[in-house]
Amino acid sequence: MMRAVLLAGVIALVALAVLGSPWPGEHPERARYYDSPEPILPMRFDHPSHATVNCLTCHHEFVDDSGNDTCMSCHVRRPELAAQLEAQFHGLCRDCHVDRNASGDAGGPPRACVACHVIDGKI
Amino acid sequence: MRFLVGATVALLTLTLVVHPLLGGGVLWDLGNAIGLLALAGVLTLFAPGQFPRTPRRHQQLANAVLLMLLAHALWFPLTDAASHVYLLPGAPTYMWLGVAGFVVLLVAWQLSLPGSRQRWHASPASFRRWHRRLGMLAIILAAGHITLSGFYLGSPWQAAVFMVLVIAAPLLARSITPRLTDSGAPTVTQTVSVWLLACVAFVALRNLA
Repeated sequence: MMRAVLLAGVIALVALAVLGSPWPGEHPERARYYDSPEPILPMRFDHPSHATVNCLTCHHEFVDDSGNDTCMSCHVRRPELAAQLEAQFHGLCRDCHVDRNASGDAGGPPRACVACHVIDGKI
Repeated sequence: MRFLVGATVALLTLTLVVHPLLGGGVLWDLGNAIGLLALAGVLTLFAPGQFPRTPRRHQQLANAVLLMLLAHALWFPLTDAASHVYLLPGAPTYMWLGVAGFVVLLVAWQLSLPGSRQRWHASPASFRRWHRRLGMLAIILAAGHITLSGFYLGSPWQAAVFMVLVIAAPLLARSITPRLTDSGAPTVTQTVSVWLLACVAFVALRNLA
């Protein structure tokens, strides 16, 4: 009995990994978004809801003159940066929300991966 | 029973030290609480009083732990569609450590069944030795999965204390046998009760406070 339950669970896990969640809604998949050399998840950044955040918090290129194109033009296309893409953007976006929440400011941590991992042509 | 409560309280308290009220949402916190409690269950499987005095309870607790781990693994791809990519090639190392830990526990469980035990092990001593080794390997892999993910153990000292705790607990368990065998191994009802209380406390503190 236990063996059958475990076998069914493992099969369900593999099916979920390959096919994704059966529930309706956004189902982001890894693909070559933003001309990335490797498949990545899509990303979104909602500028209007971040209007109170200092632009320089994210836009380092305004002060270090490292480019004037979209974020992804460097962060997914340059090999030395692409390898750190997930760590850098999780660190930038998620940690900022976590820090603000911890300090009592508005803006709790993002509740779900799909809150950010949807297609945005401007990022 | 006392070992289960102790391991549960120790693991969850350590994750609450730096930001006790900071949650990732009910769904994320509940899924991660299930995983942490499953690890507390694995540690309890090493506790004296589990085996050989009460092998049936040891087996029942092992079954409960495997079901909890399965629930933890299924929870995220079911509740957050984007997280299924963490089970595919390209996933970060800590996710592969988690998958490997689960597979090692499955192997340890399968090899402990009566038919397999006699087929693969020359003697009961050989079985116990390899069973413990596989259990320790699963604990180390699970500890790497939890600490490297950094979700609840953000500071290096938290991660270090966590690693020491989960690796030392099974090793020290035998040296404190006399004090712990009195309480005996937890029943499934006791285990589920402790897990339910701990889950509710962990999720409520991080999301309702």
